[in-house]
Amino acid sequence: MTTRTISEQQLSAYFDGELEPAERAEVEQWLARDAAGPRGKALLGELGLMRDALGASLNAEAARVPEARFEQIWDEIDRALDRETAAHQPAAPSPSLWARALGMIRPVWMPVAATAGVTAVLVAVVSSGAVTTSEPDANTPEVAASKPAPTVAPAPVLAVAPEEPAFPEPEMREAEIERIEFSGKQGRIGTIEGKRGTTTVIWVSDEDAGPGERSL
Amino acid sequence: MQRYQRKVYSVAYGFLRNQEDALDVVQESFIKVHRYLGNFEGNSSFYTWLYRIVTNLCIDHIRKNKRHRELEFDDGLRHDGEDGGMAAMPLSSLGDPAQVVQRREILDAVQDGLQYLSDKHRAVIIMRELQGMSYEEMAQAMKCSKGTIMSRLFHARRNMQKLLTERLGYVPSSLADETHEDRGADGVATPQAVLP
Repeated sequence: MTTRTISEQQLSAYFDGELEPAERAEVEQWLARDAAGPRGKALLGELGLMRDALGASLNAEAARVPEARFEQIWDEIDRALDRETAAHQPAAPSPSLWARALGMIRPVWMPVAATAGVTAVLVAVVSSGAVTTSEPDANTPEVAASKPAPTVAPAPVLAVAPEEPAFPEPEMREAEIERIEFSGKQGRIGTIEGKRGTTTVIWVSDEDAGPGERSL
Repeated sequence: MQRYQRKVYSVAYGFLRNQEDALDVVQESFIKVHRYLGNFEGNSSFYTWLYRIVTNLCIDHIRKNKRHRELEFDDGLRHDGEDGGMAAMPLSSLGDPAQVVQRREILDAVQDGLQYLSDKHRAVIIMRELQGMSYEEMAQAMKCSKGTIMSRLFHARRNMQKLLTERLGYVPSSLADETHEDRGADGVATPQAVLP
């Protein structure tokens, strides 16, 4: 029989299985003694019961938390992980100085460019008339009327006198249908005798039709 | 992963004694698991690895919180001398062990007991009793020696038993008498006592 005593601390460590083999053997010998055995075993039983009660108590506490609260936690975890993922992605290259400058002036130059484009088209249309009128050929009006000159003459258009009509009305004889009116415009129909025979001309002017004539 | 959530929560709650703090630790634990899953080598079970993360977060939380509270829990502060010790057996004196752990007042008493333990004592009890950590693992987590853990755990258990005795208010007189009269005969001594 051992003459050595066992401390409660040793018993606690024995309960946890943390004693060295020799020390563990001593405790087991001590537990086998008639006098000490029941008391030691009761202490070990109390330690086991406390462990079970602790686990049951904390499990019961955990069971009180509603599932929805954990769902909130998982939502927050997802958001946190998404933020981390976004933070670790390579940053987009910073725009060049030129791109930034373009970005700054874009709101201004886009409308300006659009206006300029429209203006250029208008100028082209008007100037085409100016070119045609700059060299009127009274003898071959059908060319001017049916085939406008495609040449764009931007600058000279400003030089055209405002009172000068773009297309001089040709001198023509009356046809069977003398006048027409459509879409608020009026026209005159006539014929011109030229080198290659008689040409029928429909002459449309920009003058508004009278109220009575719009019904046509 | 969700199947671990309540286990993790119960550990965190055992350490921290506050629902929202415990849920914060649950959240942070699973974020760390996702973040470091690639580093998990599989030397231990996933459960053990997860518990280590939870434990470290709880200990960090307690340390940070302690700085705010400006309180230091000395091990000796709540060691109740050398009297009594584990000789008081509040739980086993209450009847059938299988039924004891199902009784509401017992579970509440355990919660109260945890509440009044020092942070360090509560930590070692949770790590050992709930997580099954070895003394070596506990020593690493708490940055102390195995001997310190052994002593701390013994005192934590003893204090817990005393708190349960106070809370439950019943210790059989026969056991209490036995505690004082028969200790020498049993050969069960407090840590410092040496009997032939």
